[in-house]
Amino acid sequence: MSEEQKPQADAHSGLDNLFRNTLDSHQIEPSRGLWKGISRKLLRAELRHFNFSNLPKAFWIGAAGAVLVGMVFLFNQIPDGKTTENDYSPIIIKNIPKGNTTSGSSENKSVRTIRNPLGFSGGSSARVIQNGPSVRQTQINAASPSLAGNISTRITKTNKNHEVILRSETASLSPSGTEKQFREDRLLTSQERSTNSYELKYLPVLSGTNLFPSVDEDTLLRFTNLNGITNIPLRTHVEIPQFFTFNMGISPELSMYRNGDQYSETNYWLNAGMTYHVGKFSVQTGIGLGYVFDHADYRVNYKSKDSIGYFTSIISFTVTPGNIIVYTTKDIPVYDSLQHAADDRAISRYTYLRIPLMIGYELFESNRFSLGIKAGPAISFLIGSKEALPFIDYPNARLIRVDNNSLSRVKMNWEIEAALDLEYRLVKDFSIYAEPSYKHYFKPFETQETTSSKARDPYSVGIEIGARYNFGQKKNKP
Amino acid sequence: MIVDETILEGCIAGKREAQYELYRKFASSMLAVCFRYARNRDEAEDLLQEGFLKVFQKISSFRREGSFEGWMKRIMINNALNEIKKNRRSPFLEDIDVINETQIIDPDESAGNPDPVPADVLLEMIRSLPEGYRIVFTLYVMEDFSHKEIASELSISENTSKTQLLKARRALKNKLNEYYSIKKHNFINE
Repeated sequence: MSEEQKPQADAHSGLDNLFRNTLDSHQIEPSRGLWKGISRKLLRAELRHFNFSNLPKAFWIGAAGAVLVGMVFLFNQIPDGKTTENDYSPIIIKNIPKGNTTSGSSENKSVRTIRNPLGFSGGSSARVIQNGPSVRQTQINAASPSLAGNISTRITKTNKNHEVILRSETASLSPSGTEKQFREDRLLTSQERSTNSYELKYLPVLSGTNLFPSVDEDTLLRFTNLNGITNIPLRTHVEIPQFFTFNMGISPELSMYRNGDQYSETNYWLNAGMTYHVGKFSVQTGIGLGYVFDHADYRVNYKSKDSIGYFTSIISFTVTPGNIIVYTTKDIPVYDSLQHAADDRAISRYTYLRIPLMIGYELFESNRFSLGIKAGPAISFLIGSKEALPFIDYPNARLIRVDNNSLSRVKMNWEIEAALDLEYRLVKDFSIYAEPSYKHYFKPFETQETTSSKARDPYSVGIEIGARYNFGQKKNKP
Repeated sequence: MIVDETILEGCIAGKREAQYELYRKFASSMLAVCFRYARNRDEAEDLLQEGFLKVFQKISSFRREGSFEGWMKRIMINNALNEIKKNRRSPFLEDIDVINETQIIDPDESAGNPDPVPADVLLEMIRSLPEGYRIVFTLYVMEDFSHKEIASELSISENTSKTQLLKARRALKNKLNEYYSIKKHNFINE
């Protein structure tokens, strides 16, 4: 590699050759998963440098068509948001004496005659007097006269294609005094929904209290007072609730990754967000301020005078009468300046700013409690750091050098987050929530960890707890 | 180690099978190279992974004039040195004393052929050196860099390079002596 002469090579050739010759052909088997990591990185690089201009025209035409079809489909699915209250007045069913099949003109009301879905037969006719504009009439056989009327009628929505169900509960009373209750569900047709008109199917009201001689007065009174249908809150379009919520919360998090050994760090996030809800779906964004605590590793190199041994110094000696020399000695320690290295670990604090974009879906909702899921990407930026200093307190030592072996934090990171949203409504527009979450980071937290398999895929788990306030159109909450 | 032309062409075309073949052929020897610059196995594998990505990225610029293995090794070494510089590790103590060439000569140094020592033991000796010693020794002895080149690569002075090498050699010599004495002791005991 070098043309330069190495003048002293010979002096060390034995040592150098030993290392060179032995290690030159040395091989170390890599870990089994290493290729997978390389392959994944190669794929990521290929996707990043993918050139869309190379795609054939057919692809673009197909894609444009797909987008167009998708938009048309979506447009048809989204309701216009307008609601029209049903302007029908209550429909009143009255018991009318047998044979009176003419319209109730004296009451200046339209007459609507209804079918007999339960198969009652009889010679009497039934008329429904309705404030609405339509007038229809049907003869009903009243051979077996009975009293009947609507107990309740409800409009309910279904999730499927915004269908509307009309549920009627009716009761009937036979001349013998037998009471029966019935319930019937049917879907409103699109025409009924769009034109504000609908035909109710319920039991015919067969008239004539005199036809029920065996029935006591109270029961008769109860049945004759039964109104047919009252106050149906029919809407021609099902309303999709749309509103904003604002939330603030705090989230402790534990992030896991590997830096030599398995390693974790504790983070704290203060989050504020705004969510737009459309029906069961929601879009959320906001801002989060995170405090991340990480280790800072230092190696402190210092020299100090240390005892490396001792020698025995003769202080004096005496000669005994038997010519034995007795020495008086003293151990004198020997000091030398020795270099030491000490590792020190401190805790540094880093501040991150995070901007998420989450799509949510509400899975379940009751009066007070709701459960949802949400997921989406987020980007975070390092906006500040407070790096800890090593602890240096070595008496009688001379500091030589301090190596900062801490790895530098990444300045920007992408992550994908998935969370459960558990909400409990305290009052109509104010609720508290808890969001257990999982975050997967696309880059390691520290620049050193660019490639090791676990360090490349750091993740964190946490739980955000906070409060939420509804703005705009209110939810139908307690 | 000679690399098949079809593997090279496949790698240039970005074919994953060819890239895997190249990896399979050279991963073990290149990991041994990375190991000399890393503090632990994880770090060495990180360097290897990053190095291979660079090899695949730059493979079309290989001119086929020299050995492919040498070209690849140089990429691995450059990548390792970049990582060391990027991570702000400053392992080189700038000595004030100017080391004369004569000072480098260690009169006790044996010029003869020492007894063979297993590669793992030697590698561990290198890895146990302080980082500055280790990198300079590896570059000088294993990769045949000159002090001038080392100084330029690591942004240090030539004297620092020489000092680090001297200290590395002394430390290694001590470690070798230790190893030999333990080995001898064990042999006598046996």
